[in-house]
Amino acid sequence: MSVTIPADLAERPYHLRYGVPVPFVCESEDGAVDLGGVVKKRVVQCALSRICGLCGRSLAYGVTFLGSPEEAEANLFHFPPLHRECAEAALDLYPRLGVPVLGQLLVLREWAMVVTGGFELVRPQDREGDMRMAFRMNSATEDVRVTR
Amino acid sequence: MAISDVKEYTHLTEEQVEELGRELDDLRARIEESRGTADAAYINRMITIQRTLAAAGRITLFASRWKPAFFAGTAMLGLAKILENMEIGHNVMHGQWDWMNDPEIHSSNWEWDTAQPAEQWKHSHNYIHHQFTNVLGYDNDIGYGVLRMAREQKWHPVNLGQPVYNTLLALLFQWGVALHDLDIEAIRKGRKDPKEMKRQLKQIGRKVRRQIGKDYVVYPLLSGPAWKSTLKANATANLTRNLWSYMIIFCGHFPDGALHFTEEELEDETRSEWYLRQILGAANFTGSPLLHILSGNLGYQIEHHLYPDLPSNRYAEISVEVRELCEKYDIPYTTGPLHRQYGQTLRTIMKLSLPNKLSDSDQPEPPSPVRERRRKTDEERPNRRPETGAYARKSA
Repeated sequence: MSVTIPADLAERPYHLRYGVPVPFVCESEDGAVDLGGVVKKRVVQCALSRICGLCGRSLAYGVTFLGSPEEAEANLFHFPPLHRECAEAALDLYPRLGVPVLGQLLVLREWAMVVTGGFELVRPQDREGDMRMAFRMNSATEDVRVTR
Repeated sequence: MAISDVKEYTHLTEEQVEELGRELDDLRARIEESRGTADAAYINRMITIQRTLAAAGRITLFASRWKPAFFAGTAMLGLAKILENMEIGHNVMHGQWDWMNDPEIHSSNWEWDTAQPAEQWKHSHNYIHHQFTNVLGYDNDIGYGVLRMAREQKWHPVNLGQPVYNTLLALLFQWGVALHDLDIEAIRKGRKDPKEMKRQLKQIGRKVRRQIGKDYVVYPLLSGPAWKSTLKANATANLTRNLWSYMIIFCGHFPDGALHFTEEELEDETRSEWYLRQILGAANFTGSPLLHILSGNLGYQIEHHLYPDLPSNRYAEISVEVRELCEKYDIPYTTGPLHRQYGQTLRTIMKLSLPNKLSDSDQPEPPSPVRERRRKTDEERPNRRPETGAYARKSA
């Protein structure tokens, strides 16, 4: 299958085993990569610097979030904001690997893609709850479900 | 000091810290719910006023050989630049107006009227400064890599020149900020990725050419015979903006009472602790509504640090409740008139040009007696659940 990868995402280092670009937010400072996890420091960087969680470059208007349908219903995503083009490419690149990807704890078949004007960063409430950072949309304009 | 050892809030129990966090969450939720057309009208009005001032200033300066036109044009242009940088650009780039879904007034599209590229500002300010607020060694806003601003920073004979460096920084503030995200210290220590540095330098070069071209080539040329006085007026407007923004920014974190932290524990920080660090690391100043607009509402620095992405026009009403909460929980709420806050900042700059043994600290004592309290170390905490990073609940 041929996938159109946006230029900035194509410039990211490639995963040795899966041959896909390593998302910015999945790579820690020392170069360690976990396609299913996210590096908390980078999640915050994406939120505050307004950069894409996949290519690591400045976001454009039409901020997009990817996650599970449950995350979309709860309006609480765990993977940082993305360029729309990066999000669309990601749906073709990562779910087919058959492992948890894009900040998900499980392998997903159905994905939610939500486009929004703005979002809020939700910091963890307490140490006994979920310590992951999360994102809440405040002006969604599009909400679609994609099966992969 | 480490965040866990901050004596200004060690009198609070963990439950009280969490309760304060919940009250600040409620306040945020109420503002989010009430955000709407009146707020949108405010920012649109500000942009209209700013653009009208800029256009009127530029047009008036075509006659700048006539003294009254020179002064009026310079004043209007200076005001327009201040409004654009402080109340509009800075706040739009924080995403305060993204909820409006307006592609023009959006954090991803706004490019401001100053030498630093917006993308670099969003990294050095929105991320580094707001996430690592007043954490020594992380937050480059502490003295902008030029000044020693905390007693915990090691003194060096080069600090004797601080009064001079401070004056130069104020006069050339736009250019200092332009280089801010390059992180000169990282370059000096060889830690900066050369590829990234090249990319950033290119971006800065493009922006500097645009700024210089606009203020020192295009508009003077358009003024024809008045080119020299227009050029002078543009330089004066830029200088005025530099001095103003320098003063406002320095009053946000360096008056007495605003704390510095020497260690970060951000991986484990909860929302309540993050709120506390923002309250203790920032300082407000008081003044008229006009003063607050011209300072980008950064006179409400504490509120801005608590809620950097809420609309700036709401900080005044938020501040009433934040102050009440600080009184309720006996936490310092640092504020005072602008002249006093800047006076204290200036005194700190002078004092810290000398070694600690030759000066004393001006930090006020915390309001409540210190209780034995500190955050647990990793060894003292239960194991984490790997999937969410949460600590497993203790078994009964």
